[in-house]
Amino acid sequence: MNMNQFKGGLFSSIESDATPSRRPLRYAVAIAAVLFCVSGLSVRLAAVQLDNSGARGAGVLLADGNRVVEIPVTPPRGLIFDRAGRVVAKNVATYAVQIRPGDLPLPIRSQVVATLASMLNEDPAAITIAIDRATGSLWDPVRVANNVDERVTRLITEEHEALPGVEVVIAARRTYPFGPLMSAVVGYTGPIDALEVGALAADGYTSSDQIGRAGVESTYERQLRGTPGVRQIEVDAKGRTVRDLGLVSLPVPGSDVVLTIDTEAQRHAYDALAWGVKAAGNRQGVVAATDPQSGEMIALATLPTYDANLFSEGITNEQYQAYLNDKNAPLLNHAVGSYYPPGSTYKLVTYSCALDAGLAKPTEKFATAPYLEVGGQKFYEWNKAGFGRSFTMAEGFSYSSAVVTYQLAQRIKIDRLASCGDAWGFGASTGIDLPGELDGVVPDQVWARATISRTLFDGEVLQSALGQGYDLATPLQVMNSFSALANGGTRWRLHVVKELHAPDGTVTFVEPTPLGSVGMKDSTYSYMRAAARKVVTNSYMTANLGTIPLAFTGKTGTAEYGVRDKQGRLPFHNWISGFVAADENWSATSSRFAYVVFMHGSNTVRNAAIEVLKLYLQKEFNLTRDYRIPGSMRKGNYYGE
Amino acid sequence: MSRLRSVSGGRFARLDLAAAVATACLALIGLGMAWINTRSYEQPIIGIGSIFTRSLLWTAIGVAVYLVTAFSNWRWVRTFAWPLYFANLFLLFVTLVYGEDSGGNARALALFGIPIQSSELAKILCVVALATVLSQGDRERSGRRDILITALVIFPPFVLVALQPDMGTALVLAAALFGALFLSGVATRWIALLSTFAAAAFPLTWILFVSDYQKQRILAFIDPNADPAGPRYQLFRSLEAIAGGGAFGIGFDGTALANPLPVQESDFVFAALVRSFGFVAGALVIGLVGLLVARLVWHAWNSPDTFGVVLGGGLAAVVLFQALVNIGMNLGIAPITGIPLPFVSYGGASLVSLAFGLGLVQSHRVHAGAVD
Repeated sequence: MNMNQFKGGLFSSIESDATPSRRPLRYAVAIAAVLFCVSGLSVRLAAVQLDNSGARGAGVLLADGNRVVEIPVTPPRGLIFDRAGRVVAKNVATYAVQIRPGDLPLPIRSQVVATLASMLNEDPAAITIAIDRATGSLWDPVRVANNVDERVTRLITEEHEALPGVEVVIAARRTYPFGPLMSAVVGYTGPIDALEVGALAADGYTSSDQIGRAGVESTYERQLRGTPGVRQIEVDAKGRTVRDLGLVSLPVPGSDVVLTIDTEAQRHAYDALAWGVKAAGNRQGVVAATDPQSGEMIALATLPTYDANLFSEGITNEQYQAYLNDKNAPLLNHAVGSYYPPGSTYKLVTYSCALDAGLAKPTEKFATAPYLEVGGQKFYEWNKAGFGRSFTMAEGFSYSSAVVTYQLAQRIKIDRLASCGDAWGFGASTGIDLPGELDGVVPDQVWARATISRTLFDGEVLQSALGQGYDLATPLQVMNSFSALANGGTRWRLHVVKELHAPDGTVTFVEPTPLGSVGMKDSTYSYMRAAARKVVTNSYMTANLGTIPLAFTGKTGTAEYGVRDKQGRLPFHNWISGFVAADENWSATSSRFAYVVFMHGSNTVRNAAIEVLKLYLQKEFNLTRDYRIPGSMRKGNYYGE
Repeated sequence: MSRLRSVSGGRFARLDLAAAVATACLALIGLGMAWINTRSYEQPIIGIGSIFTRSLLWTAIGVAVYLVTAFSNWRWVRTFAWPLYFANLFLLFVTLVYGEDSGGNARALALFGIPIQSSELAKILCVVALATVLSQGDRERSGRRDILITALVIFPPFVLVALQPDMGTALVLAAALFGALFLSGVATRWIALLSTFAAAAFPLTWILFVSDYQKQRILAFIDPNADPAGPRYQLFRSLEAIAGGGAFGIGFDGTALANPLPVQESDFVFAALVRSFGFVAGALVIGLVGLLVARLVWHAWNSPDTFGVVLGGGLAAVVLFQALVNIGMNLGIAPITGIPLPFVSYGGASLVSLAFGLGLVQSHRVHAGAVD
């Protein structure tokens, strides 16, 4: 068979073939493959085309080429009430304009968009971008405007012929009657983004839905949202609705939420804080109060804050950028989402720790001095002069003596100090039902090795006993430690929601949940309660605070942070935290009010937190006299505590 | 010299009439579908933008190319095989750089305002280049050399097409290579080795060459629970169109025109066809494709030289693979890859290059063994 014996070059056109070697089996396989494909395709075609029942079984096909699609129906969102039943978040019906890109012919798109933009008084480019950014089918509506004026919607409806693909729908908008007062607690809702739609599609979220973004709106999103219903619609080949087949399942409205916070009580805290930051000229602070018997929040004010209504109305980019660029972070709930050195409020941990472990006795006297020398370094008393006499622990606590605290810290040592910090709830979440809570830091040697790759120096241990150095706590952690002191050692999970009212009438109560016990002796708590009362009545430290006719306690704190100024002074925060007892019996555990006041970077001549507390207590307990001391809020580095 | 045959008029009696008729029928069906689709898109039948007008022109060019190729001596093509091959490589490269996305994946290069899918030309020109290179020399088919050379021939266009990214056409190239090697008698172990290599390269290909868009379509094919409004939408639309057709179709007026399928002139032309004319028409198209492919295999079997074996085997693989994947995706048994149905799908480059390839087969029958 070899007939051609020429060797051809690559570009040769000379006949130079070897006769191919044939493999009959291969050809049989090839013909079999052809037959297999032909018969396979025919059988499949017959199955799809001639046996309609099978195709119908798939649940997608209709004989006339139309198909049925199921679309989720968003239920009405649950309302949010305050403790007294006032509405703090509700739904208002508004008009929205949307476009189905598939119904808008491309050649006239720019013209339609321009017409629509002039009606809505919006930028045509923004509408075009919204359409182009939309994911999903061409037949999914794209929301191009919210809160559209009714007259404009009538105009759009009348111009229906000139605006193909444009439709007006009724949408629910969230409004917050109390605005900034409740924003930090209630949060806000905003449009769902494309990623979330994908992740939450199984829960019936669609691209035009709103979702809780902060506060209770976010934490209780599932309960507030309810269960979407399912509507079946028949659509034609282009996806246009031909027939509404009605609801297959009804949407279940979201549950209503009742807060533990009364807006009136909240206003006391908010107004006191607003006065405080205005008088002190700092911008950031927290005032919060809780019921020590349950962990229910009584008030939670944090500044700066924002108006949740801006978000539900559709915040402008400039407004949003302004919020984001503000270094005081108005969108952050500083009571839970920021941590700060707790300063001398942390001496509750140090003193109770020494006392409970028997490392110091109530009767023992501690020497005071201008400084204590540790490892060749001088650690000064806060007044740099000492007090010229010896102190019991309670006196040391009330004078906030650093030197007494140093001596206790040297006996306690870092790891026991850290475990006492943990016992009082530092370094761990308070479990509050608000998003973004931080844990804080309680340094010990394990933490130090893991975080700063060395063990803590002795000096750092002394600082930790003062709530400085590496110690970091959220304002609510500080408050919850004094709440536990008030009730005899129980750390409750904090919560701002009291009840959930389901649409079927069932009410779910948020039960008080203990996070744990401090685990110290009752005598320790009694001693510390009395010591905390001494802080209030020590006029050397707190001036007229003790003259307020309330059986209350407190522990002040001045916590330095940041970098020194030109005179070598560090800026500082002011704290005070404590509780209001039923009477002057400091062994009682019946208190119903624990509080914290935090003033960020106040740098005032007197403790700014004390002045804010006075105003808060005056409002909360209807005191007629004003105990605030004029001039306290002047700037000046006041190193007293 | 070779077995000389006298140049006689009787030589054209060797034309493969069955293949010619099958090709003509498929082309006519394609033209008919272009007419229906033009009406269904409410375009003027005659006009610049009309699919039918364009289709008519391309079919005329295709017929001319088929006849000229069939009646000229195929040997000239071996002279021009390499220039054509490299010209096509250049075209693929230019397409990759300057080509426009023609919706989905395959890119087209606009020549004088007419979009040309150079990857369609690549399929046929690769087969011709393979036939040329494998028929060089007198030695027995040596596995190693053949594998190396064929790989060198196929690899550059494969990569250029895959980068477009048009994975579907790249797979057609692979099928052509497989068909050519399989029938030309390369040792089984080399084919097995190549197949293993291809299988091993699949994950790499998936990562490097398959676009997200294609992945979505392929995954949608695999996952039966995918969102019906999403990537599976086209498939459901296709299936419901086919199911609506029944045994004899619903005609090509009324409902058929009111409900155009997505891209029913190319990817889903089969679904549009069987919706209008029923199972009968679908079976006819499948049968015609089967007949054409069988004739190509038959040509390879009867070819006195390797050129004909590779040409027949490669083209058979191209036509069979394209028909299988295109009809398969219409029927929901293959992923949606945008491979056209030979002659029936609208597309000038595909039609003309296939006409050239099949014309070449006819020429090879007529002029086999003869040196003119």
